[in-house]
Amino acid sequence: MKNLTRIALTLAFMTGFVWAETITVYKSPTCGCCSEWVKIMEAAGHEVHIKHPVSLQRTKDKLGVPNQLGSCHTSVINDYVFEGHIPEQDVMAFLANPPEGARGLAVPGMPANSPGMAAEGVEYSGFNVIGFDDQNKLFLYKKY
Amino acid sequence: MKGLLVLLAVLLMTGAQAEETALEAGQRLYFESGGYGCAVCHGLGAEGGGQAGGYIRGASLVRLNESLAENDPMKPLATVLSETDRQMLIDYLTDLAAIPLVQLTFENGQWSGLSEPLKVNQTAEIVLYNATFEEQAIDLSALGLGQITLQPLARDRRQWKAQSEQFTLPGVALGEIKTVLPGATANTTP
Repeated sequence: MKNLTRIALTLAFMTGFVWAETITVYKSPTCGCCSEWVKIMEAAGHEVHIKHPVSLQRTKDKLGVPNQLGSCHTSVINDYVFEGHIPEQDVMAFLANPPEGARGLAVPGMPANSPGMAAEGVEYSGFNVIGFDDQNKLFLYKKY
Repeated sequence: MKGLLVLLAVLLMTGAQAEETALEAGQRLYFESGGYGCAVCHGLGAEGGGQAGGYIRGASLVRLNESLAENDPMKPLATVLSETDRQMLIDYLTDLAAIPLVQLTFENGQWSGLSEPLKVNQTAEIVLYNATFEEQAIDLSALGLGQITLQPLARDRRQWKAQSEQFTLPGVALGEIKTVLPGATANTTP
């Protein structure tokens, strides 16, 4: 299934189609910047389902988010995990071509100039998108 | 027998409640408010941690209420923080402001950071950040904290009793900062 998705996504990229994903976002009801990130994903055409778990930390642990990469919200797309304020284009690039063994991406904490945190029109800067794999090994995916 | 069990349960419950001091409640709120806590935006030690929220050690209740009313990421928290909660948070931050802070980051092959002036025989606090993708260790024996190992991109926070106003650590470039005023940023992390 993952392979099929990958092929479809690659095709979508090559042909310039906008590929829409179904995203489950785990967040707290009181998280404003999480909702801002969700709006960005929805504006890009993705379908977002929001869940408010009793314990966000327990959800992150269950989904296998490495402790040091924690942010406010956690998203799941096609069994991959996306933690925090990751730019939409990086999520899509990752899904189209996941590095071997990778389980997901994260932008730890709440960087000021990240999607959902930055004021509209402000260029994303001053944070790293971190990849993590099934051995909990971390790697730099993209620098802003 | 049943009555005894009920009594025991009541005793245990009241005991558990009495265990948490107001200051501990403030700390719990700092790490848990809204499900993610203040720490995600303001750092483990309210020192900023390179995040959007910045340094808030010693912040005032007026400032907190302003932020809860006007600052977009904080506005939703206004609905879950009671007046008592806010006061407990401020008491915790006031308590932290009295503790001199040392911030150390490992990047570009070495540990470096800043230290507020320490007070002899008083508690001081150190916040550590490993900004690299390799595990890093730091020798804090000079502070009585032994050797601490940090996983890639991990942060840690420890307290110790200062024996002198200044200290040196092997292989650490340490500058001194004046105590930072509430609201100012004192981020050393990139």
